[in-house]
Amino acid sequence: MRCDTKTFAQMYETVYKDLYRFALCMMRNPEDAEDAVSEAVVAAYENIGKLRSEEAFKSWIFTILSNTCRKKWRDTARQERRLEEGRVSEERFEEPDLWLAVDVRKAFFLLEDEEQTIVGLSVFGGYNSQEIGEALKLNPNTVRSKRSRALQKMECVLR
Amino acid sequence: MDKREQDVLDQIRQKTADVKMPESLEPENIQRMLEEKQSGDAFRQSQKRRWGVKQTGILAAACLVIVVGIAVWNGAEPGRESVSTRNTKGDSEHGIGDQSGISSSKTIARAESYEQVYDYYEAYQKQLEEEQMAYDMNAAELSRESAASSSDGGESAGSASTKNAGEEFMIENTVDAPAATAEAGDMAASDYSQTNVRQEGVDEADIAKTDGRYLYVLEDNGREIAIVDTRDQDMKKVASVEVGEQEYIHEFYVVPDRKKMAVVCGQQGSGSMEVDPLYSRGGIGNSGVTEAVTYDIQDPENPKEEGRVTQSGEYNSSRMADGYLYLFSQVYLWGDVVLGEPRTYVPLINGEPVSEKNIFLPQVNRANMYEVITTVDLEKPDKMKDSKAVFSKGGQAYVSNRNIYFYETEWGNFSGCVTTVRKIAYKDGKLEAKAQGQFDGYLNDSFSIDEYEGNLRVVTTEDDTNSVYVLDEELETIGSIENLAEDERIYSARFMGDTGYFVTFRETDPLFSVDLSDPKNPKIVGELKIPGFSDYLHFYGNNRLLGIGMNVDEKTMTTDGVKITMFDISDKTDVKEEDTYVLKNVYSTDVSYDYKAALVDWEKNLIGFAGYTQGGQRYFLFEYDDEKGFVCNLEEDINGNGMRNSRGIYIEETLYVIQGNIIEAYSLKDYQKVDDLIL
Repeated sequence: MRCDTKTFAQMYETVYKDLYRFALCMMRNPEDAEDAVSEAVVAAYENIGKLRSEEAFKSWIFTILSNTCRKKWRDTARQERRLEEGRVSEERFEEPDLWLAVDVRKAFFLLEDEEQTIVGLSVFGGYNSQEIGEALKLNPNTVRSKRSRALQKMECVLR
Repeated sequence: MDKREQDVLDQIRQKTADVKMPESLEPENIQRMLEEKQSGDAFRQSQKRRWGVKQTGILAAACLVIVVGIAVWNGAEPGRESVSTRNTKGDSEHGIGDQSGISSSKTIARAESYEQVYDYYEAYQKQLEEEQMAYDMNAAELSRESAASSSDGGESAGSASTKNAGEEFMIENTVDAPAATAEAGDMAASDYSQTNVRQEGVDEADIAKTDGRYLYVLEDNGREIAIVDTRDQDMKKVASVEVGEQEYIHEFYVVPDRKKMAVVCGQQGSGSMEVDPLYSRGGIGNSGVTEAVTYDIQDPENPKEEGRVTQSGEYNSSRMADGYLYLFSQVYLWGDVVLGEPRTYVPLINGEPVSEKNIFLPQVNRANMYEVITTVDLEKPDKMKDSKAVFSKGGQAYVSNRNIYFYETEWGNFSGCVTTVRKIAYKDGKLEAKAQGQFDGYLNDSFSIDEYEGNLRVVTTEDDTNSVYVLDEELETIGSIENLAEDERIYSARFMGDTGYFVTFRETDPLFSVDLSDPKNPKIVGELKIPGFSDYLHFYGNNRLLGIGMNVDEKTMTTDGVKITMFDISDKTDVKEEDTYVLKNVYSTDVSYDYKAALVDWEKNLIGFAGYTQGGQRYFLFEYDDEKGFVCNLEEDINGNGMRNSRGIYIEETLYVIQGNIIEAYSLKDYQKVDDLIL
């Protein structure tokens, strides 16, 4: 579709809060989440010509954001991040100015990367397993069972 | 999704509701940022690059995706297709062939040293990095990257051909005449249902089992198996088996003739959970630990632990045959992998690394995960009888009566895919590498792959077409039919003897029959088109095939209810739809992705499954009458509420519907409720 910055901003306005929440859960650090959203926005705008219709905007930009977050993990040397995570997270939990409920963070922390994306897309995107499967190139059945296992893990922490 | 899963999602939603938004992300600031960027050179350049890409094929493919994927599942919202899906198709320049490097050797290679294993992992990492660089060079290709990255990472490789135990559909023991007879032996003494399994003669674990008198039910907390006496239709919990605080039970087996119960559990491997220190080190330390605990149930009211074994990795699946447990777990490598310290990258079995010669190398020169396969003799349950680690990038196993076929899909960057398969024979707990091979396309689930008289038959989907291949004992392709059902994909499949049936779907549900009596020359002999699709097929006696799936409204192309269909297959060249029953307002059933959720027994004439309605889950029980077709004998709300799928089990004339911690019993004579029990 054709689209100027104003139209784009209008479409963006309908989803940006969910985009940011999604990024927060994916990145576990407000600065990275903010960066991820703005990178995704730029990529989306540059590629807006590929978007077929306005209705598809939400799932489209969510997919881009999800990929951006994955890309950022790689950028920040996933291995190192994993190793230090425990420590960093502990510090974060102590901060008085919490940017995301502790138990939600802990719950996301329990998940594998892919499970995080699936849960994130379910919660903030409102997508079903078929749609998530298409976005992540997974069989919808796989999405369902991964989601179920992920939510099972999260439930323990959220209670 | 059940209510409890929904609750978790709702909780996350609520708890993130009042997150403070950064100023820079406010819409007006974003608009300003885009405007500034637009005037910059960088953007103009990327614009040029964008228009330089030839996209006709991509767009054409996009339209197909909309028809197939969206129309079925969310017809109300056309156009909600995803970017990555669109871009995975249509670009043939980057097919799988040019970069996959799949070995043409017919023999499974064993690792010569741990260093060699390390090299494979390093090659995997290197490829990731290269992709990353390509990615950074061209931001405008972002969406394409998603196709490439998700197709290669261990996270999702091979997953389109299913990943979890619960997803491989299929068969019960009523497949063909010999099968039914074999089963009759067991049934003679007692009359009760068994877990719906993929391969007759090879048992599978489940969350609820019976030995004909006692019900064994995994409680909702995942830590306890309740043993319930059902005598005189009066249920009493008489005993239970529990696991430790840091463990959870996946599934279990009850083997009545050996008086054993085998419980498969997991230990949480990541996060703050405590794990066995042996297993928590290095690159394997994050994949969790799988454990098999065997109990003597001579007296089911007093189960005794007899032994346990552990292995690295998250539980994937398992089988039981002739008193041996075959346990599959998956170890993903990431993190602290150190050359010279095998314990940081080689899976452990009972605390010891798998030896080099028991590591089977993949057909491509890189890998990041192991499928660990071990066997346990139920008579000596404190040690492994044999163990192998299949090094790969993530795949799935189909277990025939003699062989384990481990298959994984190598995805092309933008189109095409090849499935590699490694064949490992099993007998009395011993595992032996046999052969390896490959074929084009991916498998929908383990129903799509089947061994018969030494040959392997598969039905596959590649891009927008489907194929049938027959491979011989050496996994060399000897027969094929290609380019079937263009623009459709396979929804379900099933083989009986030398005939195969499979369902593809776009607007209607063509049920194809394929004659495999000459393995070198398979032929499509029948094609029946009906509305909707079946995503589970089950032979019902010798001349009938039951399909469970969804009905599709042909005007709106939306699914409008679960559909069950009985096909007359007495003449495979002229398959007929005998009867169809649509459960309006039942919007899905677990059977679509969890074959163990189906209770199908043609001798007893029972077809049972749970369906989801607006008001919650309901259990349906049908019989099939020669004259009247499907007769719904029972439709009852399921009052339990748990994380797992519902199960229906019968013992003689009583049906037990199990969900969460509630078991509800119904008479099979008058279909009235006779008892219930809260665990």
